[in-house]
Amino acid sequence: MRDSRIAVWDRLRTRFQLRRCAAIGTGVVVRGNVWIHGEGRVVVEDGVVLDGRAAPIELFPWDAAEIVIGRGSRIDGGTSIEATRSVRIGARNTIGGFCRIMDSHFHALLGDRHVRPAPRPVTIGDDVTIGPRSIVMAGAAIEPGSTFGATSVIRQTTRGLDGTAG
Amino acid sequence: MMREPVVPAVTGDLIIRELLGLLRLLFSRPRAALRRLERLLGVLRARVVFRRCECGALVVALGDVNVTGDGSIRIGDRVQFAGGMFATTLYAAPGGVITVDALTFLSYGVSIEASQRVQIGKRCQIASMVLIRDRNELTTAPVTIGDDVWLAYGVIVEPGVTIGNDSVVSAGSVVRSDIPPFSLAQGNPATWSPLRSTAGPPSLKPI
Repeated sequence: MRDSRIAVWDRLRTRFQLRRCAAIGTGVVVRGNVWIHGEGRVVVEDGVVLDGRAAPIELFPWDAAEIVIGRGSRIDGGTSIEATRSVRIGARNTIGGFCRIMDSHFHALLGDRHVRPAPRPVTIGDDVTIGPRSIVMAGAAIEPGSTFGATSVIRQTTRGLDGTAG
Repeated sequence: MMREPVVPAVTGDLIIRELLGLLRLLFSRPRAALRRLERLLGVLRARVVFRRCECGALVVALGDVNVTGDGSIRIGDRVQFAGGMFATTLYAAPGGVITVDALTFLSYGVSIEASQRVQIGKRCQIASMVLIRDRNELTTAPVTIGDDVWLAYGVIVEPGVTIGNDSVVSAGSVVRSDIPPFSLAQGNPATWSPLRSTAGPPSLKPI
């Protein structure tokens, strides 16, 4: 009886936390806080776990941008995902805490730094593991099944480590 | 030549003009008016947050900024502190000096810790979760960051480092040795290469 009451409460809480999502799958679990802002679309597919207990999770799609979190993925607290056009996370991924995923560098390397370069979408394949405190930068395309250790910086098409981490 | 923007003194006249402009904007473009109002509140918030510091004109604090320690902190004109997931921390130990020069932008979650001296130049862009400290477990030595420097997300600047004007440090790097002017630094420990450009150094416009 008590368990079912907790389950109902959890479901209501998840609904409330994800109220600004464009689409939510079934069996989505939210713990702690998820902070969704921006005018774009957020799609959370079936069975996603967003564990924002250690620190809030930020999902920030800009106007007309899209963030898709695939089926069965898990994201830990303190992770911030910012999309100026598109960030797509595949199925069954694990993304550690305090990661940063962004699809733009926001400033030009040369010339006027207030000019924002064109966004380069980020794609993360299925069954990828990304360690805590990693940074996934504009134009990254992570191949399915990759593993990245903690504090990795990922900015191109890449397979990551084979069986090792650190 | 870079243009030095003229910073108006904050007078009653300016505040009244600002409020009238805001009212006019509220009818024509409400969303822009809200942003403007947020900035105005940011200016007031900065007044409160930096009340014990030497603080220039029109400093904006859009999020939480923790100012701790008994050292001295100097903030230049029109410095901006963004808001976000984490608070920005400025800690100056007794005898320590933090200087942030005019028009520098600091995102959320930035930590600046000074036991001796941390100097940040004009028009720098400091991204989220950057840590700048002049004391670690081994050494204490002053840190100097030049003008127009861009420190990307999650950069750590270690004691004794000097970063030259116009340089860029890429995301997640740990800077443990000096970076000359107009170069791109990356990695842990950071290595640098010259920034080549036909466009010349960044031309900055006032925010």
